[in-house]
Amino acid sequence: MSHLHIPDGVIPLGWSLMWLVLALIWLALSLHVLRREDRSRLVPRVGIFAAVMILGMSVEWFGVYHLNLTVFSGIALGPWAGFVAQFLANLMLSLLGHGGITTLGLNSLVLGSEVVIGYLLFRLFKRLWTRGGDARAGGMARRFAVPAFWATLVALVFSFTLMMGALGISIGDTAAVWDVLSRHHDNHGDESPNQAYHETEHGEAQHEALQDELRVGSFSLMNFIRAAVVPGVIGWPVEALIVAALVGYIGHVRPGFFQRL
Amino acid sequence: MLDYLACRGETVLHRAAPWSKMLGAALTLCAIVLSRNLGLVGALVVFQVFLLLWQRLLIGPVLSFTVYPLIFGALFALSQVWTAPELALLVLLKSEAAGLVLITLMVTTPYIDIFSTLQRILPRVLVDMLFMTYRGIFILLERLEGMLLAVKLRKSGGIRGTIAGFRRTAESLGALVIDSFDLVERIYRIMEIRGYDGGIRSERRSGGDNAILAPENTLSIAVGVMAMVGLVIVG
Repeated sequence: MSHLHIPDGVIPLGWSLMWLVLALIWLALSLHVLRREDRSRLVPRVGIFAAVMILGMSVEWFGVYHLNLTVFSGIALGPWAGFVAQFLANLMLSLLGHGGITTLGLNSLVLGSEVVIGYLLFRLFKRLWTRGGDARAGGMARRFAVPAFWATLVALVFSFTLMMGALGISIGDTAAVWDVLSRHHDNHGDESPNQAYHETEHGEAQHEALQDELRVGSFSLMNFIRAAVVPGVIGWPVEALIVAALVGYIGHVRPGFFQRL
Repeated sequence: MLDYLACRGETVLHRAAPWSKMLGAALTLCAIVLSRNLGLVGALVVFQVFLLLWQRLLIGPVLSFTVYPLIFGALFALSQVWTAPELALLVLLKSEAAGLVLITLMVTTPYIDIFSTLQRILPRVLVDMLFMTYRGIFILLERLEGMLLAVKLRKSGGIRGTIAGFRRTAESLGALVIDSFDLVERIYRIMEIRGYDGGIRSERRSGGDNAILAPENTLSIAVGVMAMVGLVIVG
């Protein structure tokens, strides 16, 4: 549950479009940075890795739990190509109902943050971990696995927090407040929603009625955080362990794979 | 299976031009996302299920794909069910309705046709990557299935067995990643030899008449227009 793919219909269309625009800007920037790379190498590298991410999701761990290798894609491809790969994987999956198509922007931004944070933290932790020399760092597998574990764990917690923040902005009480105040405005003719709010603020009974309406009709972010945080707390270390085992295995079999980092 | 249905199906929707289906789906999605009316969203779910049943497409794996949106929507819905039950139901129905629209599109339109249509609006390099992802899934899926079967056969009980199985699964995934990078190198050499110039050409594989008034195209667009009309009337 470390990756919450938001389905269609949860956030308003205006916010969906705004997140999509931001994701497309990030995507365009990534493609711009990657423009100097050899396309014959870049296209299969990113495309095939997006396929690996999709297939990685089909592997079940403890029943229904799955991972999506976003942090690993940051480590293996770098932040720019990794972002493009996760965007492609997200696009393909959203066409199959795995996360919404209208929420593609928000899902991509959240998973993209995992790519970038994972990449930066892996580099940092690897440097810190190997500072004491080879003896402290342990074998080749451990040298990569331990930094990968911590990088994944922190990146997942960060992306979860980011998603909750984005949800708070998109569907928190602000949207409902506007909705209720707009209806209030309709009932009061010429008053603007802001005026209506200030006037009802002074009328205690009306104010309470307004609060009741907001409570009943709006999306409670706190309730959602309470529901999502428990599976998240279980999921984050599980996914971090899997990525660590994966990185450790590749570090053991192909030591040169991560050497350039 | 989805790809097989999309390529080999012979229903009315398969005969429609991809752009008409994509336009119809986009309009329906807009109506679903914008609506706050339980009746309208519920009616759209029922209509999409009816459409899939009528075209005999609601079979095997397609059924499991229709459950995905419910699972993703369930966490949002369950968290709100005590304070705003109507909102919870609306979220669940919206997720399912949108998921069904996309699944209907995917089982009646080959990926290649969708990418060909997207080629007009997306950068060429991105569409090439999408083609590569699509091919990569089929190439790597077989290898992954073989490796996971081997892990399953070696599986043993108890905590130690579970941990060992867990580790072997991660290693299988690692082997898949290594295989995929070898595959990338091979594809790179092939593309160099074949003179890749920054664009994989694609042609439509399905769809009949491109004319807007062709009956199949009209049906696809009409569904979307009706959903939008419903949105305007009931909100």
